[in-house]
Amino acid sequence: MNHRRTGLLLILPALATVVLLFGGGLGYGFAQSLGLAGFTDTPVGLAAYQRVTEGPAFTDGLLLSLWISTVATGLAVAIGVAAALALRRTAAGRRTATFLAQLGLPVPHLIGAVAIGLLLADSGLLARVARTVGVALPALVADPHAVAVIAEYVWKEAPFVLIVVLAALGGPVAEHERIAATLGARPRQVLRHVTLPLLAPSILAVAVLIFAFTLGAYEVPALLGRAYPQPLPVLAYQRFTAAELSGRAEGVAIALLIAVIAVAAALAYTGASRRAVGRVTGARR
Amino acid sequence: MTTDITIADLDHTYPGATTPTLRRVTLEVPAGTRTAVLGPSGSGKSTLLSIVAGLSTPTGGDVRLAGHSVLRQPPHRRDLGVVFQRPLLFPHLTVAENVAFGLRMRGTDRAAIQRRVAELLDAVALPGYGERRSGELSGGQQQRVALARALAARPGVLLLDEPFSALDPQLRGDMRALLTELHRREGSTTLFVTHDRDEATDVADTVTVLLGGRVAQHAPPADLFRRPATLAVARFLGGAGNAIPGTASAGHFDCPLGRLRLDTDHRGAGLLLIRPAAIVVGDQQGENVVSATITAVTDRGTHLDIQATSAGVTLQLTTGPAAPLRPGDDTHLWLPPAHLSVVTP
Repeated sequence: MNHRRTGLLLILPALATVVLLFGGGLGYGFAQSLGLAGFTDTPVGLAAYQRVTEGPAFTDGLLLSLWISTVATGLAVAIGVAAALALRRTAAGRRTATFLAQLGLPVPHLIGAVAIGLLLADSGLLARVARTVGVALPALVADPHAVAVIAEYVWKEAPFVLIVVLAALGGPVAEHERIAATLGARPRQVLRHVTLPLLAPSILAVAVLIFAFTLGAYEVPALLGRAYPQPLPVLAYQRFTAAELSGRAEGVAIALLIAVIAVAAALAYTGASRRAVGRVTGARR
Repeated sequence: MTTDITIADLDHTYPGATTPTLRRVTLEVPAGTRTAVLGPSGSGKSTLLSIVAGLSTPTGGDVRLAGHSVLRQPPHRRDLGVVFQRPLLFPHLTVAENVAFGLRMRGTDRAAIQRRVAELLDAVALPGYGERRSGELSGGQQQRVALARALAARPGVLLLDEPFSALDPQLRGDMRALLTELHRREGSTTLFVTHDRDEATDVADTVTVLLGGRVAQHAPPADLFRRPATLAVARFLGGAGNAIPGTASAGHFDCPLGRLRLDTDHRGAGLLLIRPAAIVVGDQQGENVVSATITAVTDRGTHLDIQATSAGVTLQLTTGPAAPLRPGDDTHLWLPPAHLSVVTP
């Protein structure tokens, strides 16, 4: 009992910091969205939530956000896992992988977005090269499918997946693969029945991280996205910095809704992926 | 179905290594038999096994299964089962799914798989464990599942790499008995790698001693102890306690103990070897009996370790714990011809 109290006292400073900074900010934001705090003309209650979810802008923005996050996560995971599996065989491959990842990881998303913009925009490098050989490219920046936004996320997150999967492959995976081969499994069967199931927990964890991050990130779609529809983070920022007094409450309301959606989506995604892994491998989890 | 294994002039040198790991290793394992490859660590025995399994490619020589060279075939085409020192059960599968793995990969139908899995779990004394995860089993149970998994698809060849070394001694004895029983049932040609001479002689009908990457001797277990081929083999098997220099001729060995009768192909200068437990204490006269004086007796509880001298030669012997021998006693020692061997010094 005494022991437990001592432990509680010891973590109290850290706990207080987290609760004050994170919980305090979240609580104050929640109060603002309910019209309970801050300089606002929003009536007390759920009025701000009602207003922001009313129009098609919210629904369209939500669908766009989910589209961007789902596709970016899927592509980043597929590319990262494939690259890790291809590069792990040799020491030179592993060095290449580490080098590539180190090259990309420290670059901020904002810089990445600018670079992708310069490359893919209507007047960008790619379009100009294509035009000289007589090909007219469709719009890739500010296009309906958010190609440039997704491209930036994939470019940035695939190396992250690569690093995580390479680390997971350092475990006893190779030994299990050898055993599977001696039991008569062809290389494709080894991949499907041994390698991927053993990597699944790592892949799942990194996928949820990327999904949640891309759902809440603002700067890339703000730079490379269209004026309408706008993904939720951009919508939230615009409402928050709008001229009207009610904007603040609405901006915070959208931000909090993003958080709820991210958590719900992460939970649903985790469940769905586990079932998918189970179907692929025949394993019950 | 069983398969004979032929290993012919196998050479292997690891990349960057200056000395070869295997040198012209030749070995024949007839179909349905059990051969142990016995050697100290670093003798190349695990390398040999991984080459047969297809997990390493040798730098020279050939491996034939059922008469066909398999060096160009990947492991999954070789019709094998392999068990390593660690069980390496698939953690994402249940015990039954682990055992079923090889059959599932071959597309065997569900009912047949179920029957075979139940049969094998019975055979390794784990009936009703099918739904468990490998993490819920003890080390010995996991290794039994690994054995069942390796045998499930009725492979022609079963390869075992120190399969019981990580288990405690009591369990090891049980596992040897289980392996012998499984071999009787399943009949897969078994190649078994170990550093433990008791394990090798218990489990195998033929033992190959591998020293420094070469086959030093290939013989049934009893011959190995009675007639070690070289001094190094005798040392490795703990049988070089009595090494008496002398000269061998047809049917005889002349040494300070006198002219001893024995059967040897060795000619000229050599070392006479006899294991301490093979020397018989008694007062009979006759061939190969030498008179000796006991110089030391150590009671080990289960047996007596005795030192005796005869014509200036010190002999080590062991007797039953009740032998009435004291230091200073004069006695006669019989050196049975069947247990005498001569090796190059």
